[in-house]
Amino acid sequence: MTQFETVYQMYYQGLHRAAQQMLSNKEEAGDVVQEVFVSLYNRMQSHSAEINNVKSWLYRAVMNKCIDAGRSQKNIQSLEGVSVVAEDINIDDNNYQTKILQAALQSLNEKERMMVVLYSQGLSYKEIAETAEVNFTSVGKTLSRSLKKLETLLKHQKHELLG
Amino acid sequence: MNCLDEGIIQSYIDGELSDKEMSDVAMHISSCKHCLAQLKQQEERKNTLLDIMQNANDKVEVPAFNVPVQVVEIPLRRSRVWMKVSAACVFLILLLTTYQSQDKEQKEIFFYPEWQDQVDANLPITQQSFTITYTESSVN
Ligand SMILES: [Zn+2]
Repeated sequence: MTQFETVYQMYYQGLHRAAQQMLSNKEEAGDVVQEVFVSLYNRMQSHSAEINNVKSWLYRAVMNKCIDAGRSQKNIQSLEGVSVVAEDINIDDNNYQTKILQAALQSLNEKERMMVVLYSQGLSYKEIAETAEVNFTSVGKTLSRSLKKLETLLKHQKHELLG
Repeated sequence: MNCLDEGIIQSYIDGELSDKEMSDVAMHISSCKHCLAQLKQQEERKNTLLDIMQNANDKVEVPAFNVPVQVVEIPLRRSRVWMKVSAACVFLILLLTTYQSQDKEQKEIFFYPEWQDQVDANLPITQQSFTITYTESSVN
């Protein structure tokens, strides 16, 4: 197995889940992850500047593409502060837990969502700070707030869906 | 030491503080019920949310990676054209010399140039080889 293939096998699923949680769209998430791996492949082929931390590089690239894609999505998801209900989540996944989670995540703002997603993927505070472009010392505080918010949103979504 | 804020507690849970800070926080928690309760609550929240996030969304199969097409078409085409021209010249020279050596008797001559192996457009013509099959028959 080549170095590229090893990296591809190792990170594909995590990146795909992260992209899905950012975009609430499975197909689009797949496109984003493929595009990022194509740029990594070309970079490795051309032997241009070394990438220090491949994991960070990949998550950063996926997050940036998700933000671009999210901003061009002409739906309610890009409007912050608008409450999104689970029924609005158009994901070909009938698992209601997923729908509730997606709806709750979409109600966080872009930065909060990104940090929570990266955190759940096991990135360190340093990696989260670099990827989300926030100050390292503020990661703990922002995370604790975002997690609290997400917990409340999940309860709210569950209530909406199950009555 | 004052009571801990949620950000510090979070960093403590995630092991993201310096050694000194870690032990200061541990010391405070061991003697403050309020902060201990806060720590437990945040710990529980972390575990519940991470469990949901790591198990939601269908697990996808890793698709095969399609190697992107390399952009080297332009030099390849140029050298192919150039090689065809060279091959045609060789063929023409042979044809002329053979023709001159014939006597007046009319003959039908066939040349079949055939490349040996695969043509590698990145090698110079001097390192390429091809066979020419030559047949001749009298025309009466
Ligand atoms: Zn305290």
